Amino acid sequence: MIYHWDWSVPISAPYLGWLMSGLAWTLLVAGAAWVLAFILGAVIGILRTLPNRAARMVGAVYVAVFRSVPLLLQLFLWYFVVPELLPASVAHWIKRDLPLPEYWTSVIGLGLFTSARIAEQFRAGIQAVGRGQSMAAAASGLTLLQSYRYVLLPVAARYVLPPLTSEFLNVVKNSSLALTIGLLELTGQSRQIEGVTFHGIEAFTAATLIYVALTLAAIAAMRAIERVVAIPGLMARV
Amino acid sequence: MSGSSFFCRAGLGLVFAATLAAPAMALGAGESPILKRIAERNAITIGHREASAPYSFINREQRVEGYSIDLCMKVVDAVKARLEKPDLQIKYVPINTTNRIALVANGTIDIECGTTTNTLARQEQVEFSPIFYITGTQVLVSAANSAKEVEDLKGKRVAVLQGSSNEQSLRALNDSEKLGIELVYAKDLGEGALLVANDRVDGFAADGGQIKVFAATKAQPKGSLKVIGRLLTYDPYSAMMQRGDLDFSLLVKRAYAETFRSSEAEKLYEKWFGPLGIVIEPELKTAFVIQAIPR
Repeated sequence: MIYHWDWSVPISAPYLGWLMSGLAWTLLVAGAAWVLAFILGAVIGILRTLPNRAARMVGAVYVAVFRSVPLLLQLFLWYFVVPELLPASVAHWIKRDLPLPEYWTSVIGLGLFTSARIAEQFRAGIQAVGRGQSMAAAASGLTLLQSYRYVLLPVAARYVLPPLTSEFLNVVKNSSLALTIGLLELTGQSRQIEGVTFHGIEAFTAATLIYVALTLAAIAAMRAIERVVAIPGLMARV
Repeated sequence: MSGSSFFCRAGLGLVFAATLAAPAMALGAGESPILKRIAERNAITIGHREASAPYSFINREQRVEGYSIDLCMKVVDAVKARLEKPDLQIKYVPINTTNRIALVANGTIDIECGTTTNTLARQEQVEFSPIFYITGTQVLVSAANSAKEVEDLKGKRVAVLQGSSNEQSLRALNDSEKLGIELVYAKDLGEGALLVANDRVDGFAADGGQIKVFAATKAQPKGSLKVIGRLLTYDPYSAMMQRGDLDFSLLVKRAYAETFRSSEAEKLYEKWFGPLGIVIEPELKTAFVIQAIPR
């Protein structure tokens, strides 16, 4: 390989600033998308376990739609296609007056995609609590709402913490696709440095290390949460 | 080299003639690492763009072609003559702006035939061929737009290709003249044009030659896009190859100089740009003359 290595590129001005700005956008996109995905995912996951057949259908269709289409395609559809289907005035507002259109499109695209996956994890968590528990709740006179509030959800939420950690890491990593609709997050800024300096390998290495640091921090945080909220004797722990 | 192959291969004629006329020119790979590996693999690997018509692209029959590719074929002919391998194979590897430098640097690609701007900073990493096309940053806008220069887009949204020299120039202009233009990042030519067509942005700043071709061939409906403004930058295109191989670099320079001298380059320009109604610019014509270094 004939390559003029220069490891000072990713840590020198202005490129370090570009990487940091990329990191900030990665966190902003991943964070907002995570909040959206968590709330929607929990609601849809609960819908999928309700006795009401219509509610279960709604949940199933939602999950099928958002889980079956590649995220890259979803972002493209939200950015380029959806505004064209709306009334002209609404479309114009989205395209020209909405501040940070690329950011909000990324948050919505990534948030909805992830919510379908989180919904499945919530459904699995609630079902893992077992029919016995929900029947016992009903037998002791709790309404459906109360049985979810006091019996099913507190246990299910703890069950889903480990898979939710993986999903959180996915959100961080998938946020790199936002560069395809023009958001200069971490990967986007690395490409930017590549274009200007032709030192892409150093820039991408720096981005890789930042992603690894981010995900390791997220893993540590989630493990801490798992320990804090653990109910002794509820889950087999190693 | 036999006399009959000289007459049969009219296309190679010039290169063969040059070889015969200059007995001092070595045959075989010599000390050149690039020629050595080409001889070893019995194949030359060309890096190409997938959708940069008419420079370097994949056509409807899934074949790689274009103006940059045709020029590179002159290099391939020269390599065939030099290595005395008339049946040398050609392998194509698609590249993009993110991987092109790495693929050239690690030797996956012997020569890159695309739309890469030759800059001094990039010359720290790779060797460049002589300049075969000259363009500069201009702006693609919808036909209804009354703007004449990029300054008329003050405070508007303008798309740029990420990491391009166009982006750097527009950003510099934005800062120096306080234009307040909001930059929007697109990943390729088609997407930048789509942003304009969809009214997501007011303009798309890119290499003038490329957006002129786009406006002439791909605008839907026809005539809905136009190119405005003076050339904001000077962007000369060259082919990239691995750095530090003087032998191979000389072979490439020789092949291009022959093409410029014999007016073959102008004919190739006419072949690819003529049908689009684009005539050769005086600057490029002059560049051909100046770079036709004597034997």
